[in-house]
Amino acid sequence: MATDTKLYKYGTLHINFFDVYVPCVIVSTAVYFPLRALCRAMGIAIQGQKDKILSDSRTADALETFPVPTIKGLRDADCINKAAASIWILSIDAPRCAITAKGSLQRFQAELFAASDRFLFGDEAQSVKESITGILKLGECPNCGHRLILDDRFSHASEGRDRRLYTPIHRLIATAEFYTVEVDRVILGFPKRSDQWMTLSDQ
Amino acid sequence: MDDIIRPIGEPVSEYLPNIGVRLTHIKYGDMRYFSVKYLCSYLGINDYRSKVKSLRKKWFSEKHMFKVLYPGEKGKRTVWCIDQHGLTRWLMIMKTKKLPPDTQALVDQIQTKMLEEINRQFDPLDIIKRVLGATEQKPEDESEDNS
Repeated sequence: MATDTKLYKYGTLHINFFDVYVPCVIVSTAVYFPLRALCRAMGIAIQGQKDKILSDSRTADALETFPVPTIKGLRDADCINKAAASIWILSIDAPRCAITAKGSLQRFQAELFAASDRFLFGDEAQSVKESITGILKLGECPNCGHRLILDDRFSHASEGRDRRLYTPIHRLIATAEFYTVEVDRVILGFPKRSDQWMTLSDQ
Repeated sequence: MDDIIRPIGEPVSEYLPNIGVRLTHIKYGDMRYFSVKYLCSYLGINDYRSKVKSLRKKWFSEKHMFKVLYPGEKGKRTVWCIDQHGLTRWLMIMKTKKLPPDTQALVDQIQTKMLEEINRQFDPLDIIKRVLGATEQKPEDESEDNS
């Protein structure tokens, strides 16, 4: 006498981000993707992916074997839970993937990393910034009194012979709120407190 | 110009409320730089030199490793630092098996929180049900049929 039965539902789901259709197995409310089919749809080589999933404590439990319909009938296949699939995809070495998969994979990882970055350090894009484009005429450095040039890391720099090579001298005022000014296609940042020594004229 | 970042400020200790951890870093521009040696001692990783080596090679962190002139007790020294984006990537991808039990629990907790937040902000694998085909019932344990 059978002690327990499981109801499997089979279907095909569209993953918007990668614009691919992937077969799935639905067990109760959980969605599982057959690993081989998911890899094929995303253009990722399956070699090593199962080991990668099993070696990560966050995804190891998410891999299960379910009967999956094939042209030869039901066959057992390794399936990954949808909830853990994103963390597995995040850990794939995108630069080593096939060129067809690389772009979307890197975009996906960048979005997830950006979201976790916002979670960890706060959303710095919300800080007050003002963009101004024009020629920057700087006066004297309030710190050392010499002619002020700022490099792309917001340091007071000394000008080189070709007026493009700069050597940083010291960092100016460090605050979270910067005005950004575009000069020679280099974005420079200025603390709000520097208003009194910064003059700006239109091009 | 050399590749060393020369911040003029002092290292600051910042509490990251979302993960309940206080970390020391030095800011340059609007970017935070964390000493890898400090992070390794925080996480209980003994050999920080090999960790620096591996982070400089790993696909997710190679672009986020910098030499920073870092003020310390004995004056300023050049130390390998990872920027805040690199730290996020490292924390997300880090395998916690080899960490000491206390930090393993901490990093597991951080990773879970980050994943929950990601899933809360948006479903990364947003799916649309297209076709739901036939259903199949399968006995889970047929060996007991004979009993």
